[in-house]
Amino acid sequence: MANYVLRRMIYLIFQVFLVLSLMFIIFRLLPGDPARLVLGPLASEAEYARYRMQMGLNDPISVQYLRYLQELMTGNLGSSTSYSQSVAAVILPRIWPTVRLMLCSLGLAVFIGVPAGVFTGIYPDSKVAKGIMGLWVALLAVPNFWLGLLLVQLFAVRLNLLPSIFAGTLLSMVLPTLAIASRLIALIARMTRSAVMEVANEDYVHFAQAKGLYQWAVVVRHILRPALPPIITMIGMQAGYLLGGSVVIENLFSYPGMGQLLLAAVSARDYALMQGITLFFVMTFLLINLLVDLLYSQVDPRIRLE
Amino acid sequence: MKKSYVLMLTLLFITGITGCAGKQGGTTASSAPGNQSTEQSTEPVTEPAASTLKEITYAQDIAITALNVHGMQPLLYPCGTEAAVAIHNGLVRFSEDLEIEPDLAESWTTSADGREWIFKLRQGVKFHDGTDFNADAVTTFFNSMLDPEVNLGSYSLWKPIEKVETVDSYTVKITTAKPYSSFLNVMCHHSALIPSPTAMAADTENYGLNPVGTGPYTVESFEPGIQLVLVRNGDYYGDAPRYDRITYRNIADASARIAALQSGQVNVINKIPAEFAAQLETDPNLDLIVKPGLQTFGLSLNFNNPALQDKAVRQALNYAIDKEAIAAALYMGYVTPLESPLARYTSGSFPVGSYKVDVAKAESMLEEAGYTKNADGVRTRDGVALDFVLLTPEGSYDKDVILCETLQNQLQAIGVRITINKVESAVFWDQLKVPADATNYDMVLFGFNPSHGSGQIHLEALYKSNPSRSENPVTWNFNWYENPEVDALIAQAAEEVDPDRFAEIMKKAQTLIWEDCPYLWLHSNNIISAKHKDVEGVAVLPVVFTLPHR
Repeated sequence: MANYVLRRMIYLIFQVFLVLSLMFIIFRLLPGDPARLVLGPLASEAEYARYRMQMGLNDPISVQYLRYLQELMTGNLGSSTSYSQSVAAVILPRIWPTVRLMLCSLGLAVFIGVPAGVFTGIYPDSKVAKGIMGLWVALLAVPNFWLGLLLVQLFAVRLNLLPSIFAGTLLSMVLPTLAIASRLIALIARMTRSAVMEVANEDYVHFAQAKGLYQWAVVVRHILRPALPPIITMIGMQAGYLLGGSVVIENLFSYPGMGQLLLAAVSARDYALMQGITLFFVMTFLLINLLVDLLYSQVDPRIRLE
Repeated sequence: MKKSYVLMLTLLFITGITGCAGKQGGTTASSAPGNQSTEQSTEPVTEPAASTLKEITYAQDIAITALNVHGMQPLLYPCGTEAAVAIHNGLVRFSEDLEIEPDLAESWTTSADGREWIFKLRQGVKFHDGTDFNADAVTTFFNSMLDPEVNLGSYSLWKPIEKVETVDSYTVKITTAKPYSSFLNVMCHHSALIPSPTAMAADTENYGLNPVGTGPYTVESFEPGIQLVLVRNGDYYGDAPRYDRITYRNIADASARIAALQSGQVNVINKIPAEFAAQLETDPNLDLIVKPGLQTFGLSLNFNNPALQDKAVRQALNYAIDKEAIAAALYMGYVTPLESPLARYTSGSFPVGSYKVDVAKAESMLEEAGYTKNADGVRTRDGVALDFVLLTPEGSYDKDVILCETLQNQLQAIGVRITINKVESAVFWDQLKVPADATNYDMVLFGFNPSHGSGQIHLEALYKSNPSRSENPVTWNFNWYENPEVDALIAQAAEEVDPDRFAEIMKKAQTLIWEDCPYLWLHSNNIISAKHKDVEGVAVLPVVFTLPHR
């Protein structure tokens, strides 16, 4: 397994390098002059020209690219123009908040989604199950930004139960987490339900029940275990959604994570910062997929890692 | 057993919600002000609102990423500047009506030739780090601002200044190459806020993260882009700071910003779009603050188009637009139709006329000029049609695209056809800064905000003719308007330091420009902020500042 991990890490570095190069070129092809955006409308043409020269924006893209690679090798991510700090200094304090938000959303989604899925899988014809399944469709259909706005209006403005923006407390994490998790809950629940339904009628389940095992023990030991791989796969596939959802939700709730940073960086055409954030997103996405694959092999002994 | 388990959970959940709602005793947003710093609990509680708040939170639309007064200050405008102004002082400052008030300078005089300004400084003032405030502090900093490598982004304001000298420990003499009528505006500008020389010398590069000034508040903690916390400076020489602590946060989305104010989590917010303003006005717990702004909007008419070279056509276009209706319908009355190329409160601004909507007159003016409607309903004369391309940014200005569509409609009624070309905000300025023959527009929706409050600089930026048609416009005369009389007046006004004569020259210049109609004059914006009713006195200035600390 150590071999496998090592190999995957090497692939990861290659993939990151590839994406970073692609992004580098695309960002610079984006129309919009950073000089004007940074210096504002009151500066003169001479000042814009001077700024462009200072930032090396007049050099051909290939030269800028090589310079960037050189700096990257030494661990220098460049300096942010919109922050007058180094990119690394700007990004570092924002990594944990975003990861925390992702973990909480994931946790909430699993905590609610799996039991709901199990229940509706075991009792597929009950009225409650049908009601819950209808709810899932609604959760899947609603865009998370709109859901976030609704939640804020209901819980913060009208009912005054929860804070409307993030304020460092656990309570202020609730609404953002809910906004992101809602779609995941639906997806995980549906996946769990179909996995459970597949397994619930197997012979070994009947045997366990005939043995006299408690209902919940049957569920956990014999039904849930085979249902886990699809759930884990689903989580891996949703990593992209989690990262993307964080951009929108973080802005709505003024949550100090990478997503909020990205929007501001793009508006300011802060190339160095945009690259740094992309680096983070790509690495996170790939790492999540790696973890999912590793977890997979642990959960299902039939799967061997190649 | 499983069924009842789920039912039980649902019941618990519902009781929980209604129970908590019941405790609040109401559904309106009548929450207590959110006294907070981030580490404390922020539950919107039920205590009755305190009549004097000691700590407030101000949510802005843009994040504060640095607080440097040198270097790239435009990055800060206006949100970072609002905080920088609480931490620092300049020699002079703007009042709420944009009058010049003494700040660190107690008084000042101008020499007879208008080139020398002598400032007598306040004595006994110290920077937050204990350094004495004196003439050397001023001179050191101002001389660095005369260096274009240091003063990125505001250098054009400082260029006319030749030198800054210390006369004695509390007197500074500033000499300009020629008399400079906007000099005091520059002294009120955020690039003239004075930092502690010790702090600046110790770490110039990172000064923006640890600013030290003489102001009523000092920095307690600063997480760039996330949060800034200021605490009161007990030794401040001016009016005692009202609050113990001010927290600055940023919420980019307007509706989220308003929700935060309504839920009591923040106490002051800025940049409220017009459509929300009406609804906030009726909320009994909030105070809406509306102030006229300096940003003027209009359709810039490209003089490279033969039809638009005719003054009668340009004036007719102005008569065809119902500006009052636009103000009422699109902006809920929160804009002011222009009566001059300059907005009110801009220095030298004077109401010089109004093109009150008169569609009949517009049509007859066009007929007289020889433009008759052809088969398509578009007016033409000798093969030249009143068929224009209107360039507009999307998202730069409030309701920019809808405004253009409205204008398109109104102009269609008099036989003028408009095709709208929308571009993304970030590339908009690049389309304008092109040589005369490379322009790809006939009209441009443009809004200009003189953040320094100087009408002379505003007129010069937009209406002074460009020296060369094969180069980019010098500043913002991208419609290539040329009037030598106006140029002469603008040049005169630049060097006229006597306020009365300045006003006279400016009035003449505005009258000429107004009549020439290089723009289809529209309106000037309003600055709309809001605060919880228990927050005392938030000053809102026409230079787009919302200052909770005044």
